[in-house]
Amino acid sequence: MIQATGLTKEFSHRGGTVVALRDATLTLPKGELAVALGPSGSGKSTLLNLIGGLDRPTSGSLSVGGTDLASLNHDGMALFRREHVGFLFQAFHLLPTFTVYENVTLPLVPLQMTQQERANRVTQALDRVGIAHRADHLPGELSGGEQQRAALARALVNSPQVLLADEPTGELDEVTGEAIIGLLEGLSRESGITVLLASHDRRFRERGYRLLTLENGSLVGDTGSSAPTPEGDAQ
Amino acid sequence: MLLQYALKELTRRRSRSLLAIVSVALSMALLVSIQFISRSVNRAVAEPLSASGSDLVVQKRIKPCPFALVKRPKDLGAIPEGAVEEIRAIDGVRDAMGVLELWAFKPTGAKAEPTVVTGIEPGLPRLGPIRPVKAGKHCCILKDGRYFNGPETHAALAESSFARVTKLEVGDKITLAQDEFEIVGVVDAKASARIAAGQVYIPLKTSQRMLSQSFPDETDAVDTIFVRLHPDADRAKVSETIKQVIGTGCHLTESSSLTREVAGLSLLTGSVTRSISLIALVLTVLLILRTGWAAVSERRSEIGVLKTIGWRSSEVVRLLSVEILLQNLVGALIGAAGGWGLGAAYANNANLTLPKALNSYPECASTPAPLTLTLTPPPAAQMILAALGLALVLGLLAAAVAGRRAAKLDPAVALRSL
Repeated sequence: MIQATGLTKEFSHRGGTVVALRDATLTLPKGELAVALGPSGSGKSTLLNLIGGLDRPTSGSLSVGGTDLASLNHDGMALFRREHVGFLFQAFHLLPTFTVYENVTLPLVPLQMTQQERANRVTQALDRVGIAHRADHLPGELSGGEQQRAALARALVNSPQVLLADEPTGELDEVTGEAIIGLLEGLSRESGITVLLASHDRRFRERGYRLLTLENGSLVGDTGSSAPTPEGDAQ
Repeated sequence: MLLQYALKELTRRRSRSLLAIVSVALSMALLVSIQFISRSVNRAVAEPLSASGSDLVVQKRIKPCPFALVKRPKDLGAIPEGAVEEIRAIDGVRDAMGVLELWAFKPTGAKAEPTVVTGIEPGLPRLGPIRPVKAGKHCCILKDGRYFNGPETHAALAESSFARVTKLEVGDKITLAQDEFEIVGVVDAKASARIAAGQVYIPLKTSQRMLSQSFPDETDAVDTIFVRLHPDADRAKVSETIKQVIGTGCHLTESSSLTREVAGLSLLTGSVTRSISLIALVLTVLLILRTGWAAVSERRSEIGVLKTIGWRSSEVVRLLSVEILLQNLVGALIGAAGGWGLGAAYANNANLTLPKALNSYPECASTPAPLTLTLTPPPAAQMILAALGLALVLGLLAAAVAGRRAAKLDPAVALRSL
């Protein structure tokens, strides 16, 4: 499903070049739920951005769902994100002036489809994450957990093959965070969506997910596909 | 769907949308009101000349002549009739006709108000104060009776308001100085006689004879010459030649000089109007471009999110363009209506009058001189469409600016900056 080989991303700035991700090689099969663990600046978000087609690698190859991302131009990348990827962010990034329903509709706006078809897909996504009862509310009127559910519904409305979640529980309390993680787990297990989370939350070590450990831009540990994580193995 | 989202965005961000709409509306109102006032004033000022069928009016200003039963009004000087032929022969001149405007007093009461008499060439005048507005055998401004027959010398046409005040009808007699005339027609010359208008019109030859009786040196004189030019005439050259023909005291009136002469209108001359319009246009352009710039600056995160979830740059640009165009069109419509209202308010309250020398009525005349200029609004649909067209073009420009910025915006960078 996701095949990355020698993935490197460098950022240039006045002081020189920063290597955000260095020579990362990994394979994530369909339906895998993996967690990229590591402290801030370790390269987790960069890895997610590269896989999600938001950034281009400086070197290395990357294929997602059989699509070689290097072969895509600017518009091709946008279409790739639209058709294959759902994003979830720590700060939710819902548009504050749109209702939950409208926020979830946003990925469908540029698509040619009937109003009924659009409504069906939005309703299904809202039902799936249990936020349909808040459809007419503005994001500011929701709790953090509800906002993240709304963001998850938006990520799912295009039926993505890959879901990338950058610190999805970072702004949530433990109980709410658990609920979101439960939802993501269900999505990978029941819908076959490949889920890659970026987090520095140590709780993920005990859940039996595949762990990708990053340090200073390097992938230093990989527990392998869906293998339980022995304590400290990823260190 | 895009339009629906654009409308929602505009209605929910009311303050920002209102600010953009008000900015566009204000600058557009300024532009439209200036154009309204300028165009209506220019039309009003040009109207007396166009009604007379001429492009230039030639007069001579000299010291007022002493009192006589028949005299030239105020400082209008006599011009030998031969000058009309000379002017007609100037390259670029299509036609020229002279009239003689006089004040005729009654012999029994020198202190009484004079009658303003204008001598005109018999037949249907091609140029001048009672030129028929429509072609035809009879002058279309003829209310009653008939026009002059060629040979008659003591026939007169009474202006309708003068006829009403003095209770004159066709067939009545009127004494002008020492001559008695028969009223052969009543003319309603309010629309056409705006320059050298008379209360009574008599044949030119008769008026010249009457003047020469009081001032023997002034035979075959006229005091106002209407000149029509060829469309491609060199106006400056023609004016210069006319000045040489007329000599000292020559005063030329054309629409541009008339605008300057009309009291308080110096601000509305072409160059000043153009400058103010240009400033208003630049202001409009800057404000509209600012809305385009701000549409991206203030919404970096939103645009970043849209791009992240798969909107192509062209789709984001389309959304911004629809929003900007809606704002601009609403602003332009409000601005055009407001500017139109301001212009109309000015037109209703403006008190613009022609220079008195163009209609030399005595202060105590029984009927007022036709000096008042009526401001008529320019075509509303044309101006509003022009404003909307301008807003559309500038909106597209602003959308291009916004689109360029939005297209360049990297979603990863936009999200990182949040």
